[in-house]
Amino acid sequence: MFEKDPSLDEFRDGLPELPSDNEAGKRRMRRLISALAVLVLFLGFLSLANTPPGAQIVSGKGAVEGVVLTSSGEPFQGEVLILGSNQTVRTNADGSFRLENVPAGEQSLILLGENGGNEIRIHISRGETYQVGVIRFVETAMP
Amino acid sequence: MKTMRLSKGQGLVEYALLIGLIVIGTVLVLQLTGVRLSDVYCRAASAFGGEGVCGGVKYACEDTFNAGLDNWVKGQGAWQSKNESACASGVGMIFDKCSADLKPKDYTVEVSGAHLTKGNGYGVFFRTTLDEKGQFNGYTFQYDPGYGGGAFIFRKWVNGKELSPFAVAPAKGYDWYGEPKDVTISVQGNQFTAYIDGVPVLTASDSSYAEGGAGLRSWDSSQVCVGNFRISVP
Repeated sequence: MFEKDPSLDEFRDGLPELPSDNEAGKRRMRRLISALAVLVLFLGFLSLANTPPGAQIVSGKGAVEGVVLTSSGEPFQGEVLILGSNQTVRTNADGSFRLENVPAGEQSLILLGENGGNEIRIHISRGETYQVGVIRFVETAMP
Repeated sequence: MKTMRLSKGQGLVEYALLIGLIVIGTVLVLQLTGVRLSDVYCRAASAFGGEGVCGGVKYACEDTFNAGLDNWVKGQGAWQSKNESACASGVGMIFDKCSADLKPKDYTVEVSGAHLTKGNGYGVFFRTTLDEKGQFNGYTFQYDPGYGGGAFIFRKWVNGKELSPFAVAPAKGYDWYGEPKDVTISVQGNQFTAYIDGVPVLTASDSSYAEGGAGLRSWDSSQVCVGNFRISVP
C-alpha cells in the first residue's frame, strides 16, 4: 500500500531543491510551443480538406478512352477534350476516342458537337486508363 | 557567469518558433474562415477614422452606352448602339473590353434596364476569356423560355460552344417581357448567384474558370436593349 510513497532516506540531505523559475518557465514555453505546433498541424489538415476540387495536388498522368454515340445510336463525330488542358482529339469514324497524357485527378471530359457540348466528370489515376465505356451525346436544348 | 546567462530566460530560437507558429496559425485560421487580410486591414483602418480606405463599392468597369460600343468586342452578330443603349436584334454576342483586360476573379456584374420586346431572350457572360482566334471560354446566365417550358440557367462555354446547363431553376411562364429588368450576377470564388430585380433566382458552383470578363448575348429573333452595364469588385 505504502511502497510507492517516498522513503525517509530520500530526505536524508534535506528537502530536494525545487526547480528554479527559469526551468519552470522553459518547460511552460516548450509545452506552449508543442501545443501550438499540434494546433497548426490540425489547422493545416483542415485547410487541406477544405481545398476546392479544382486545386489539385495529385501528380502524374493517365489516359481516358471510350466510344461516343449520338442519341440515335450513330457514331458521334466531334471533338473530345479535357477542360483546362491542351488534350484534344477528334472521334474516330466509329465514335471511339483515346486521350493520352491526361493530368491525374478530377477532370472534366468535354464532348463538343456542331452546336453544343456535354461535360462528364471523370477521375484519372496515375499510369492508368479510365474507361468511360459507351456514352451517349445528349443534344442540348439550345435557346 | 557565462553559464548563468545562458540558463536565464528563453532561447531566441524558442521565441522565433513561437512567433512563427502563431503567424502560421493565424494565416490558416483566416484562410479557413474565408477572411481576407486586406479586409482586416481595411476594417482596422476604418476604425481609426481612415475614411475611404475601403472605398465601398468600386465600379471597375462601367458603360452607359453613350459613346456607342467602342468599349466592346463584337463576337458575333447584331449588337449595336441605339439611343444610349446597347441593342440586339437577332443572334449576337459582345464582350466588354474593360473587364477582358482586367481579368477580375471575384466581382458583381450588373445589367440594368434590360428590356426584351421580342424573341426568346438574352444572357450575361461572366468569367469569360477570349483567345486570339476569337474563341472563348466562360459562363452565361440566362432565362431560357425554351428550356423545359422556361428556366433560369447557368451554362458553361468551351471553345465558343455552349454545354448543357450545369444549374437549372425551373420558372415556367416567367414574365420575361414588357418591363425592363435588372440582372445581377455575383461571382465569388466558385459560387455564382444570379438576381433579377434584386431577387435571387439561381445559385450554383463551378470551378472550371477562375477569372475573366463579362459580356452580353442574344439569340433567335430576340429584340433587346440594355441601358447600363457595370462591374464592381470587392
